[in-house]
Amino acid sequence: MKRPATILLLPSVTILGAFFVLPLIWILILSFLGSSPTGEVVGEFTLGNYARFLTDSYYLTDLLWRTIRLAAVATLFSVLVGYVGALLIVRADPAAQRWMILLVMLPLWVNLVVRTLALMVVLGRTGPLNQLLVGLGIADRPLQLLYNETAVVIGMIQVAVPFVVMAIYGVLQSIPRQLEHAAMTVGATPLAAFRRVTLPLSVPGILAGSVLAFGINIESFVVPILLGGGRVRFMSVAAYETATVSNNLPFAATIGIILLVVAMALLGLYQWAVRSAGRAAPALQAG
Amino acid sequence: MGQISVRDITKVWGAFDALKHIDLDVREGEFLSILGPSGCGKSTLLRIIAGLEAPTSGQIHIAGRDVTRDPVWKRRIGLVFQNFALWPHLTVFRNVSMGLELRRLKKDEIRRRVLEALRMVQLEPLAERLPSQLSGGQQQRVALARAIVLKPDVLLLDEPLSALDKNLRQDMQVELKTLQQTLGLTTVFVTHDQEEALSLSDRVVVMDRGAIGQVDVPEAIYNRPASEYVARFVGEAFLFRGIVSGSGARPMLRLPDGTSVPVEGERLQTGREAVAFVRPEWVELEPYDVHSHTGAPRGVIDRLMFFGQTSDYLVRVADRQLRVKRRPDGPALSPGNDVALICKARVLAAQVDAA
Amino acid sequence: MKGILAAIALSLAVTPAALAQTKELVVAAFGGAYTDAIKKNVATFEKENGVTVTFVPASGADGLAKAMAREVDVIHADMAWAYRGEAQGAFEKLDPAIVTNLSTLYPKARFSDYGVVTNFGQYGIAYNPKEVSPAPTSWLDLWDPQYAGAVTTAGFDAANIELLVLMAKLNGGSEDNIDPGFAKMAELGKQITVFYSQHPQLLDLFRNGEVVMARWLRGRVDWARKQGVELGFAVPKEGAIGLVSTVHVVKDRPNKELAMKFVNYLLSETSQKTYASDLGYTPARAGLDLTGIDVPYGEDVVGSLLIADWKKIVPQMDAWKERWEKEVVAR
Repeated sequence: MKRPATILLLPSVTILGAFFVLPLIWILILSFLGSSPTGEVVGEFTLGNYARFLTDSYYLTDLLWRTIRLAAVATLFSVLVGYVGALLIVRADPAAQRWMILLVMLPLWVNLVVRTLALMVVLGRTGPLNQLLVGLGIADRPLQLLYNETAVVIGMIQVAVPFVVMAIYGVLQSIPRQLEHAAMTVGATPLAAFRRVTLPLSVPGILAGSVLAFGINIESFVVPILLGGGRVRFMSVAAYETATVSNNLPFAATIGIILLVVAMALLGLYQWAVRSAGRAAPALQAG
Repeated sequence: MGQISVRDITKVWGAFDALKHIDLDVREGEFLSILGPSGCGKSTLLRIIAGLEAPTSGQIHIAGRDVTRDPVWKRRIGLVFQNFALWPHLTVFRNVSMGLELRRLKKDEIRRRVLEALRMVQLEPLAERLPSQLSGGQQQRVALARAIVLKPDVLLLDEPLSALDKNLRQDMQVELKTLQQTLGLTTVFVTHDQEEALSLSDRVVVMDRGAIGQVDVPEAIYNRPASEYVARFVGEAFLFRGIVSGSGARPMLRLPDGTSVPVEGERLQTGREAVAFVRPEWVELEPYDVHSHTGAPRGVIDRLMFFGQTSDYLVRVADRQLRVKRRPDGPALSPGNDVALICKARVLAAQVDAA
Repeated sequence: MKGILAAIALSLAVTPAALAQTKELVVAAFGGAYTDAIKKNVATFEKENGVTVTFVPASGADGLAKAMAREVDVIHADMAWAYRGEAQGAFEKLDPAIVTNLSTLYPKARFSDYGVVTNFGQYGIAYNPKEVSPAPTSWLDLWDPQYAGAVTTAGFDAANIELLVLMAKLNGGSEDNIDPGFAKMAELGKQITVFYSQHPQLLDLFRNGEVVMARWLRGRVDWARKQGVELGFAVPKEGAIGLVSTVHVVKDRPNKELAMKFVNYLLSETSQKTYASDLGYTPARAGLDLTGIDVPYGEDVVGSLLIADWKKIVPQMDAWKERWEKEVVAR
């Protein structure tokens, strides 16, 4: 029984190993090496790259913190929007559900660059959103919606929401509607029933969705380049430019490793916090 | 007007009439069963009473209040679902306490009432378990405790025992009935199990394709069914069709094959077509004898079915099969034996429309 | 036995010839229209040399990586990557005996022994004639406070490095003393709302009126006009910034001689004219007849292009890039 299973795992392990683990190990090693003035990797161990990053407020604040902050904000909104979307789909009749899911998945079939460019049209000075805002009298003249942090956050939300919807939809779908009805029979309004039953039961979906969204957002590349107007700097973009413009591969690797470690640490911390909050809640109230 | 009063309720789903002009009163403290096959509308009716479903027309009153427009959470009902619908993320205690929490009762009162309800269903020691750590029967009890802890005006049970295995079901029937009587709760119990309905209920409603077939006490439903449908659905019935003959003192039903069955019933009119039925325990079998049994319906023993406490004969009568309870004092019969059916059939009140 | 040996000998004799028929030359180029322009007349070259030329889209870091991995025979580069490649020993010395066209080039096109410039683009100032009056005449017009917020340039690209060096030189600095340049560029940074990253993006910015003046490429301004956006193009008095495309033969590849011949083909009259007609770039080759092609051309044009000393710049790029982000981009 055990042997065939191992054999079946072999291809995926090989692929993961060859295309993910090995390159990652190489990047890790690279991050501890130096770079010559003309871009050759110098085969000598150094902590210089990490020192350069960790002692410079530009890298820490303008780059790392901004990346985390924008990814977190975008994740928060992605989960909010995605949850509402997933709930609407789950509550729609089954025939409509299939179409709604298709609609949610549709953007994923379109190239990310194309989607982001389309968003640029929407957010542009003469775009439909500004026309609406001006038309409704909410704004006196077209607003600068593009090329700033808000635009990047909107772009990231746009990318992450389909994934969040699917993650939460899967969990919501597995929660029998009857559980909310049961709450209503003991006097819960629909809102109270949702808050006390569906919401806590969908925490695994929220968790999966937000981890997915944060993972996608913190590694955003196309979105900050296109929507950030050159000013919204992001870790992944910085890593890329350090390799391709500055031609300092070891330092680019360092940026990548720091991004990876920070992202993993934050996600671990987040999961731990949510889980322990989930454990604490019933214990507190039952007593 | 009863504790629950259902007035001219209809429910239409597209072209399908799920409920057709239902009128029903449930008396205070009464245990009323709604019995019928799946798809007859019994669960829909219960959901409409609970407020989980809106009727197409008609009114619902509970405890004297018109609740037709009230949402579920304002109806003060207790509802036990077929699959229990316990909240898997909450402990037994919190499953039961949620209704009280929502009423913003004091913490110690919540605790007292929850424990009291759990005591009633013998689950006090399991208060801190999660539903997934309970057996089916225990989950059922939690669902029951959750419904009664709020002291609802009515208790609604939607096939609550069908998910349990047979032995457990029988135990729970007793418990449920005891609890209901102790609390004096007006109870509506939806089931497709006729034995359950007959044994638990003060009255039984038999539903037939969205309409009420008969409402009566269990004994009357069994012995004096209003229609062929009720006779067949509740208990086992063997039907005879024929023409009423014989004098007023000893009415008979003359069957198409020339034999006759003694019948009883109200307003029997000689010469009229009628349908009569017998229950398995009403029939006596005797080895067929040409002299003494002339004119009586006859059959052949197909087989004897042994159940332990009792056993049944399966008797082939023409091309139909009749089940007959074996009497301890009756003759010993073997498959292949010709038998005469000695019985008095009961004429159904409603004449067969098709005849 | 003899017969078999003869057959083997025959097959051995035939093989090199057969190989010659299927020789392949792999060329890394910028892709898109640029590759299309090179491809235009490549059939003649292929026929004459019995070779198939395969183009892979790769430039910059990717191109050099392919060269270092000896995956390609010829690569295209810009000044920075050309110097890096040369420093890393990626390239073969060009043989003037094979690359005979070297002698026809303007002196500025002779990058080094290890590579050659095939053409020059011109960065100048694109402006909206309705909004910018009088027309800009100097790079310093980008600093004009009346257009603050409505001017733009790209990120830390080759042309901005040229601009940075120019500003250093205008203020008493040089490639070796870049501080004055950064001080000046930081002032410009404050007047910029958006640093553009794609040409269509800049086109939109002009079209929406968000930008009235930008550092842009002559060819792109022509393209913008075709898209219906009325733009002027000014060559500043300090000179246009040169966009340089170099070509190199990769070291230790089997078809070295063919690769040299390919470089020579790129410097041929036909290829050089195609750069002008199809891409709007100034040819590196002197003495061409470009009648009917609207591209600035000639010794003076090439000679006036601003091209800094990249040999000095390359080792500082990592540090300059960081300074750029901190001093120019940061608000």
